[in-house]
Amino acid sequence: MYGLIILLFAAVALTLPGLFLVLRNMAMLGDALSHTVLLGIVLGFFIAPDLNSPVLILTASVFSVLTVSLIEYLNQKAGIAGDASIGIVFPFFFALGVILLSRYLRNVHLDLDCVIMGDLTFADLVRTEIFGISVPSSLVSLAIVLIFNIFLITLFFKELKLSSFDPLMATLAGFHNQLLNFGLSLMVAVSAVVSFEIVGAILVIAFLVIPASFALLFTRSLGQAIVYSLLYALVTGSVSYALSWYFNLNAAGLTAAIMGFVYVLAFAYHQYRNSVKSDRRQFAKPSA
Amino acid sequence: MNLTELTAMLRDINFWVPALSAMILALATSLVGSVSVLRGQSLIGDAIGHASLPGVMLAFMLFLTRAPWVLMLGAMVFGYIAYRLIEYLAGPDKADLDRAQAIVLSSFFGLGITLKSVIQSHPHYRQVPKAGLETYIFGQAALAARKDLYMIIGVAIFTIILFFIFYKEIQLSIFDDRFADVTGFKPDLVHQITLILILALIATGLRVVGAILIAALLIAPTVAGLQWKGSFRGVLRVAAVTGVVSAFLGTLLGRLGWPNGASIVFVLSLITLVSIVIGTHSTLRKKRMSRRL
Repeated sequence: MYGLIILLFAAVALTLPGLFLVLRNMAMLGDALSHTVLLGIVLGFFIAPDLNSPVLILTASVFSVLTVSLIEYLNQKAGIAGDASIGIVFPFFFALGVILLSRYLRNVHLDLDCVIMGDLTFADLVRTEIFGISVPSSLVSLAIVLIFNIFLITLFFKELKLSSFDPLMATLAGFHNQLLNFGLSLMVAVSAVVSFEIVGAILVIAFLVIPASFALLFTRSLGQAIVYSLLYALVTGSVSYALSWYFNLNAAGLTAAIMGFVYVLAFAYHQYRNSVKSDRRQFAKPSA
Repeated sequence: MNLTELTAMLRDINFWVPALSAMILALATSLVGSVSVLRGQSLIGDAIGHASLPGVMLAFMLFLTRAPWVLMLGAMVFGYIAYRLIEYLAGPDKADLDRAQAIVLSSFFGLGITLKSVIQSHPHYRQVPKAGLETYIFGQAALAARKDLYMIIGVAIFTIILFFIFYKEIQLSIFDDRFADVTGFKPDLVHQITLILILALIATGLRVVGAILIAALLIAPTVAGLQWKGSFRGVLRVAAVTGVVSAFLGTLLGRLGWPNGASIVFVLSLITLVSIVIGTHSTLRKKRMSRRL
């Protein structure tokens, strides 16, 4: 039962920053970040060999900042196209992470498969006591990240909103756009680090991008988009978790697949509705 | 490792067959990858690479075999579906390409993982040998099976030959699609051919470097080439050398116990990053020179 609660906590924690990521056309940066945190985690593991240590979050955050800065540097200073610079930086860091992991941490419980696919079934084995109640420690760390994300987004809501829709206006109004980009990437990275040993890198990307894209199909208001994307993430998350439990399938993989499938259906419906609308508009026009 | 061990290894046929197949594969990806990089669609390879995984798993489930040809065809079919789906979701003006790629990438890969968990738990597949299916995610620790290697070499040589047959058409359509159309070069046909080449290379490359890192083999060599030369031909030459050298050194590191696919990507990225700093045609170097004047 804890598996579902953990999944839903991760869904909310990732969907919130994901919305701004999608609005800023940085979805593939989320993909890159969810891969490069591996190197941060592996290096953190050398310092503090404990998967629940906060050092891992720190080193992974440092690496996410490094990833974003390197991508920005290659893009703006070295004249390399945006997606090509993403395509150089993240395989480099990820390959380095895989090499270090398989060379030096072979006997440690930091499984590559688990990093990509997540391990919800065993997520509630490691437990901590809070107010005398034993709860999974992953749930505690996710709850902290979730509260932190909600706090940051409410605090900087105005800045994020303006700079996502009109970066030029935001810069003219004196907001530091670059700094907001970094802050957002950091938020994404911290959420990714905490959730990805539980739900896996693939579901991290799915939660970051798909609910937000779904919501943006149906609304033009940011407030509504937040509500829609959260609803979408929670509903598809619960349904897929139930299905995966019933059919004994990998929960993270199935959730990502179902979310994508529903998005494609919604997109097709959206296209169809638009075409009907434009047809009507044509018929409404008086013929010349 | 000392020098005598190294020379002994360099004389060993068991080193050269996997090394040569990785080198020929890297040569092919360097050439074909240049098309998507120069078109400004570098990450499409990343998306297709991730999205081919369910194809591999489904092909295994349908035909109950690990024969590399079958799994490769499955990967190609799903790569093609993923490409078309990205095109559809990105909209006519490609405005939403970024999120379309991320959506297709994560949901297809998720489907692949789900199918993998079916294969692992369902009694129907208990009798069938399935070891090695997970190498399609991270690539193989060290290439061993000859059957795989011959397929990789075959596909790579085939794509290289096709690339040179259509070299003129590809070059023209990269730089001026409309002019190509007007002069009767059928750019749509060229798009289809390059798409098939990319799909075939990704599907075979999965075996070597895995679904996650395959994109690097398509992107990095061309970026390295662009740091040294200004002409298409020159970029291709440098890219080819970069790819081949990285594949050789990566396989060498693989022999020393490093994971094979990750080492190739690591060496390749390192060469590319160094090229970005010191390349004779790189923007950074030009900036340094202009500051000096």
